[in-house]
Amino acid sequence: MSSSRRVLRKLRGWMNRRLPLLLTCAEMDASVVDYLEGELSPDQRRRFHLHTRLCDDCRSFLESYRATIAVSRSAFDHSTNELTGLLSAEHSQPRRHPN
Amino acid sequence: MATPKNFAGLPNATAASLHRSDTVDPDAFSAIVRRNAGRMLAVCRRILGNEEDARDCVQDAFLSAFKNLARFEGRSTIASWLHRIVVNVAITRLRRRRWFREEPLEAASVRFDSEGCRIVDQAHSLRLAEAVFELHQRKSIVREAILDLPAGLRAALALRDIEGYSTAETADFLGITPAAVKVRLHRARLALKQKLEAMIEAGQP
Ligand SMILES: [Zn+2]
Repeated sequence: MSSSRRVLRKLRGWMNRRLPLLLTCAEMDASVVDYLEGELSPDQRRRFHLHTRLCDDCRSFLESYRATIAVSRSAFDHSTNELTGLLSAEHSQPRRHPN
Repeated sequence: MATPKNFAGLPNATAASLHRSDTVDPDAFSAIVRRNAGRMLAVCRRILGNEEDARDCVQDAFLSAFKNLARFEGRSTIASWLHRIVVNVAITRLRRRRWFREEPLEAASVRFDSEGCRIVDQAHSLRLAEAVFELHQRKSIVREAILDLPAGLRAALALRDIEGYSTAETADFLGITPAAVKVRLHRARLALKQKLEAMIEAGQP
């Protein structure tokens, strides 16, 4: 990573921690689940949006994070009925039943 | 056990139709098994990541459903009732594994500097979002990555993100607090994101 980039990051971190309306990236990260669940208060939501507007890294993180969820949701779309019937044969002769 | 009834015409039968006749129709139960087994097996595979355990669970779930048929109240479809039963059976089995609770749950890829700033690997940023279309086409690769997650993380991700249960419902299934579900969910998503990014980096999808 270039040193100018590191300096910029330091500066941004310094501001984020001191200015009342700003979140640090770590704080943004800690609230991303609640954000996506719609559980942030309007105020927290505003700060979250402000941070992602100002921070390229978190904006691309959020995009990839959302993509991960979407992709895992779609990964099992067509696997549901492929084995229907496979169990009906076995069902009549269960192998074991715990407890 | 109250007498299970004929339930032809499911999955949308209500309690009323279940209680209409007074004997179990084996053909009707087989029809239910045939109609739901594939989906239930898929759910178990996602949670357990193991074919043999998944099949055992589906069998156990059908046995349990058969025994408890009188308790089916028709507030949901038979399919979603069976779905809950099989998830419970699978989670019970998962919890029996010694390492389910012990496995390390550290966040996989997120790291921050001393000021709380994200330290980003530039090579990775945005690539995943750009590769979404391809990943949607290469479902088997994504499935493998999910099955490869540690069991405790995978269970949270499977229930919340794939099965679509709420965080509260997922917490009930797993026997942990909603806050703990969110922690696991976040770590699972981060771990999966990291795996997918590594695959994209390697030019796999
Ligand atoms: Zn940030």
